[in-house]
Amino acid sequence: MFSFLIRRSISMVFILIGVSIIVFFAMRLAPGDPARQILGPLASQEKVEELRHELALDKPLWIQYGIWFKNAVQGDLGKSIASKAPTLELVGERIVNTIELTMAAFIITLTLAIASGVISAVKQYSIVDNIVTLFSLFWLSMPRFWLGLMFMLLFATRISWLPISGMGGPIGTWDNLLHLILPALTLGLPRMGSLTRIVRSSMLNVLKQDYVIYARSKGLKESRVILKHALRNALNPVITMLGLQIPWLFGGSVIVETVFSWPGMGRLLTSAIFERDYPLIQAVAIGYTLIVVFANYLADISYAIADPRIRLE
Amino acid sequence: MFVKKMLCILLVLSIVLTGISIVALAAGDMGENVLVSALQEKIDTFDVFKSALAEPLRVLGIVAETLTVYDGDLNVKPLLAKSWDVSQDQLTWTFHLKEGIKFHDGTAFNAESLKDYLENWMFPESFNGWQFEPIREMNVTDEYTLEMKLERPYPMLAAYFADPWNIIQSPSALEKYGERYGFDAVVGTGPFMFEQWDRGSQVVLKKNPDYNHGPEFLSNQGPAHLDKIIFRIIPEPITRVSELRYGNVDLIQKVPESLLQEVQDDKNITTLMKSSFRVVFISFNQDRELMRNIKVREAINHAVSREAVLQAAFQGYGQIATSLLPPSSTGYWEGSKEFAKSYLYYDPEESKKLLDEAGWTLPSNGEIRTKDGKELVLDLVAINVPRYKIPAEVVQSMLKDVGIKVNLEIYDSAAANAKLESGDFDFTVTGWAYNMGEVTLDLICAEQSIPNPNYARYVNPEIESQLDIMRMGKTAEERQTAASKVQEIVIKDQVVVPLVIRTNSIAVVNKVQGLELLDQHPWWLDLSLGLELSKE
Repeated sequence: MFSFLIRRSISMVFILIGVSIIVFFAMRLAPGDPARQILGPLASQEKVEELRHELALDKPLWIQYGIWFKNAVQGDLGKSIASKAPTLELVGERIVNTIELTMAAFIITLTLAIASGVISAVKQYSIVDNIVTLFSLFWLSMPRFWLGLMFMLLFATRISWLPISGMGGPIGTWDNLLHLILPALTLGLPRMGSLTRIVRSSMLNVLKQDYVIYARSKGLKESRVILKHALRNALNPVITMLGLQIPWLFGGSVIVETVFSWPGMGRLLTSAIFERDYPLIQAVAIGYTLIVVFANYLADISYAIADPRIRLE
Repeated sequence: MFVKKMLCILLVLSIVLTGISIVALAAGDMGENVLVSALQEKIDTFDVFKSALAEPLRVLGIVAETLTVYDGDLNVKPLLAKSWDVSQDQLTWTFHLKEGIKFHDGTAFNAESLKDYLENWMFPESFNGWQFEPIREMNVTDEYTLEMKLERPYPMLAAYFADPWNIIQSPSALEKYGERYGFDAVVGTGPFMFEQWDRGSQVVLKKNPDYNHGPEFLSNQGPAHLDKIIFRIIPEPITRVSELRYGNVDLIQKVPESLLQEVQDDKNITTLMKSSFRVVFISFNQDRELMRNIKVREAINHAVSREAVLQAAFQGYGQIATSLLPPSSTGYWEGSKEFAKSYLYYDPEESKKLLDEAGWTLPSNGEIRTKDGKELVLDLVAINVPRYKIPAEVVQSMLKDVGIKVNLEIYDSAAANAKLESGDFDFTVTGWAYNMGEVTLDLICAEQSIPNPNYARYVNPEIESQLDIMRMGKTAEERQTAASKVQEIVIKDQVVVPLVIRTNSIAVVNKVQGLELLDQHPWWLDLSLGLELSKE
């Protein structure tokens, strides 16, 4: 276990360096001058050149990366070109909001997918199975932007059950939780669609196994057979898939945050890209990478917990 | 059985949620007179020296004020200044300041602090610094009098001080907060004070109870009727409109044209519309040989139906442009309406004739015109926002009808700017929005603005001399005549061809009162002082 943690931590450092290099050079390949973007068309060319020099944008790319890397190692991810505020502070303000939204979406994905996958497998080829299949495919195929607007139209405007947009109060308050429901559903449901299909096929596979037939023949209650004996074994492939859901959820959060005015990192990233705010893009990318790598870390650990045959070595 | 149970749980959950929503909404009303407005995403900082984005100005415009201000008839009037005198030789301007005004941090607004601010902050730091370039020296003659010595006569000085970007802020606050200014604090003299900015969520302003020096043309000179203004940051236009229609936001600006009809039909909402400052125009790159041929430019001009552009891009909300300036900006040429009739019109047959005359003829079996075996293919660059992208698509389709193939290249704003600056394009569909027409003309048409934003690389000595008169002319009439002349030459030359003027809109829930005052000003200046909420 300990050596696993060490190994993963070392690989995390390399992943972070790799991501920082890719993001750094990819952004600079895109045409556009941050100095002109920030100062606007009214500013004179001299002012633009002055700012380019101040931001070291007139230096060769590898020197610019070297400067960034040297500072990053010392914990300084630079200042936003647009606001001059430390990027760490800007990301720090938003990262918690994105994690809250993604976690809620993740919980929705997981619970709904397991529940509907199990029902669908147990009632194979029934009307319920067909309905679950239909909805799974529906969630899976709908673009998040459209889904978000439809949820808003239905639950927040036509029947005013839930607030339209924003974050409500601070994290954890009632108002905040109410504001969380629609964005979390919008983010989670499309992933739930694919996961339901996996739970269903895994359950169907397990339900045919000898130990399930044995459990039934012992006279155990059907709910105990399904939830204790079948589901636990059916979850292993699902847990493997969970690690892969995380990047999808974060990717989707960019759109969902915009539709529901959720002040998360996705929106910060979009505006940073439009303004070519290189240090901020870099910091947000590092933030996302850290969360995704860490989430996969947790997925690996839970895999070992769910299946004792797996050891973290 | 299981399904029934799930349905019951869902039902109970919805009832509980409805209850909670009602309680939460009721708890939100604390009895304060709070107006909730909405902002778009684009706010990085409220430091006007660091960001040229227009959205922060909606907040800054009521936190800080300018020395002078334009009234409803676009005459320059005093705001922080009480009056000003100009010497006989026009080389000395003396500004007399209103007395007893304090910045929100408690420091005094007087000649000393104004001089400090202008000299050490605004002139060197602002991207508008060029507007004040002729000022050579400033002297404090008494506590409330600041004398400015100029190197040459500069009649536009008082007008430039009314430019909404040239707000006066507290020099001590700028000093105190350093790089954090605009992020943690903004300190001006306006009717509202900057209280809190939850980045990505909202900006909260509270009333300045001591404010009493509003512009003379407003019936309320202070303090404001509202206790607070909350600007919620809502990036998605559909969400903004939904929040307005369901009562969570009281006022929004710039309703997208595609949603305007829906908002207008809502009985609980009052919608105001005015011509905006934004003129969408075509700009022909004069570095490209083909675009230097006036017959080709004219042909393109006559091949494009402005009405079609207006319908497709703005659902018909807006006006056909007859000049590079909109009627709501200063310097607008009234005569352009009549004059443009002979130049800016849709006539595809004439367009085809002009292309034939220019040697670009349609082969019997082809759809694209050719000359000496070369096809007539043009590169059109536009920014990926509906206001430019859709007109560009219309232009592309209409030019196809007269035998011109257009390669349409759509980029995000940073990439498009880079492309336009590099000169690697034939023409662009772009636009400009600024309240001061003189600034627009100076930037779009002057040689000194090549390559940005004079994307056409337009050089015309006659325009340069008229721009000089526009900047330096002794009387307002002389300057207006020069500004008009520039607009006339632009239409004649057809290097920059105006298409349409966009409409600006404000949608307000009916409980907000005081809109009449707001509506008198062509710029919808100073929302805050006139507005109040009716007690329901």
